[in-house]
Amino acid sequence: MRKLIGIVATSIFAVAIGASSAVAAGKSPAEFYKDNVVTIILGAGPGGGYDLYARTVMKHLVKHIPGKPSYILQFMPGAGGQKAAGYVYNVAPKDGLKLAKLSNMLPAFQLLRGGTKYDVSKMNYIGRAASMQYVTMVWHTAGVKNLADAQKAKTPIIFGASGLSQSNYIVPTIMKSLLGLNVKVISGYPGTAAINKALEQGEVTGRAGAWSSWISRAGRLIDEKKIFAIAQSGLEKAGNIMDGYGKPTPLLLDMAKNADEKAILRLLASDAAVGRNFSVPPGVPKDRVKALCRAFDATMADPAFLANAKSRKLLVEPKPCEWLTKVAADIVATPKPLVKKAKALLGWK
Amino acid sequence: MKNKLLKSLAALAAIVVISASGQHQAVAADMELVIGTGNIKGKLFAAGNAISVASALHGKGVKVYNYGTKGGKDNIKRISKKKRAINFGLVSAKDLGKAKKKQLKAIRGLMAVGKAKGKTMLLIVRKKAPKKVSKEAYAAAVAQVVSILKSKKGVARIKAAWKGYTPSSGSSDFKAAGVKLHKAAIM
Repeated sequence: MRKLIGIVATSIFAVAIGASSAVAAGKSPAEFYKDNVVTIILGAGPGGGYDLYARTVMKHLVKHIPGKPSYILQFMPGAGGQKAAGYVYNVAPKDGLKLAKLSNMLPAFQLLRGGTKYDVSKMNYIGRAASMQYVTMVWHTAGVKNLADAQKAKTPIIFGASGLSQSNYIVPTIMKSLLGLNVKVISGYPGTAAINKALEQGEVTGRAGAWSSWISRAGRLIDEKKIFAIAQSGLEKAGNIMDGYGKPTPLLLDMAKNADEKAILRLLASDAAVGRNFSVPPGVPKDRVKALCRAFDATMADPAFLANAKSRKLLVEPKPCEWLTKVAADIVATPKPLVKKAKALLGWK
Repeated sequence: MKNKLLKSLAALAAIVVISASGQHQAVAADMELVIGTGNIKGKLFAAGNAISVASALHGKGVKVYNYGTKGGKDNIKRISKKKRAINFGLVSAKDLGKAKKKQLKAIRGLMAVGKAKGKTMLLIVRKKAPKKVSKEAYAAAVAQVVSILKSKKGVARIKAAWKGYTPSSGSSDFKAAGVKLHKAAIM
């Protein structure tokens, strides 16, 4: 009898949940978002680039979302953003109220490491605020002002890195493998701030990092000519990144010697293109995803947002959701033999 | 002399406005504060989400963002950090009792929030105001958060996420741990 009551109660509960979902699903995006709270989940802690971009974008994005919802941030650091990605993909409600600003490394991580609890090609991207063009910088005491100097360097350039799956490890390692640079990579630093400190203390002589992060967090070092850019990694060359002689820095992708190398470099540079991206998990109603995409586009063109970003020294290089979705799909579709070669170059099994 | 007089008048006017405003004191500029809760799979993290949503819906210029930390000890550490510190933290009375003297100096007690796994959970706040925020504005923001946490709507929302939520003074636990109470603390 108790079992029967249990079954009936569960059924009523399921019907009620279904009915409420149907009601929610029947609402227009404006009706749904009105008086609601959108949460943006960050795969990092407060105070860094993720936080800064999320706060700046969300402040203006909600004004363009139909219904003008309120918003909050939720910090979920851990495992280089894997923890947040797993939560967003598998646990978070798929109603369009949970947005995410996840690591740009996820596509490459899914392909190269495997065993991830998410599939980036199934995420619903809503847009990218800026690329994360990785720039290899060398401390002035190393006597290296451009890539040619680095290729001639007899003393190894010592790069600080946080983890083996982070760009600050991948970029110098690839430069060593493909360009034959005299480079040593020391990983294990807790974050970019720690590597910057190590640079200033002379413990390391180089770091690869996102250009957006360099200019917002360590612009002083560039202005004071204490550090020089020698190369950039991304899918497109940024013309405003100059080396120590005032000339544009080369794009690693342009230095590939054959088609295979080019494909590998393209794969490893894809995280730069994915950049400061915003997404919602798969399963969110399409009309809400569309509304969020258009709201994102409108935000990126909003003069108030642009002024706010400028005052915070944030780069704005927007791309729409359709472009980002294609990039993620292209990365995941990389042929397996190339993935194997890329892993070998990085020394991964 | 004239400046001093003007400043005094402005301060007096601010006090009058704050006292005259309703239940939740409005904060002039938007203030974003962070609460360290615990593991993302735990009840305290869910409660943190509810606190965060309540602040967005019922707050006036103050928002509280939830941070999934490693728990009480981690929250004490983060709240007493010099850089990138969190503003609020959920800690057990036991963990607070084990905190270092230097850490306790940076902390003020706000309230007890209930029991989790048999342990009394306390809400603490960072004594120092965030960068570019005045002491007065920070104190008003903290008072507003406490007011939301005590309000009927706030309690209902948090209880829906964590049944164990029962806001109370917790002053004896704070006293036992050697933590001074914040001006906005529940008495």
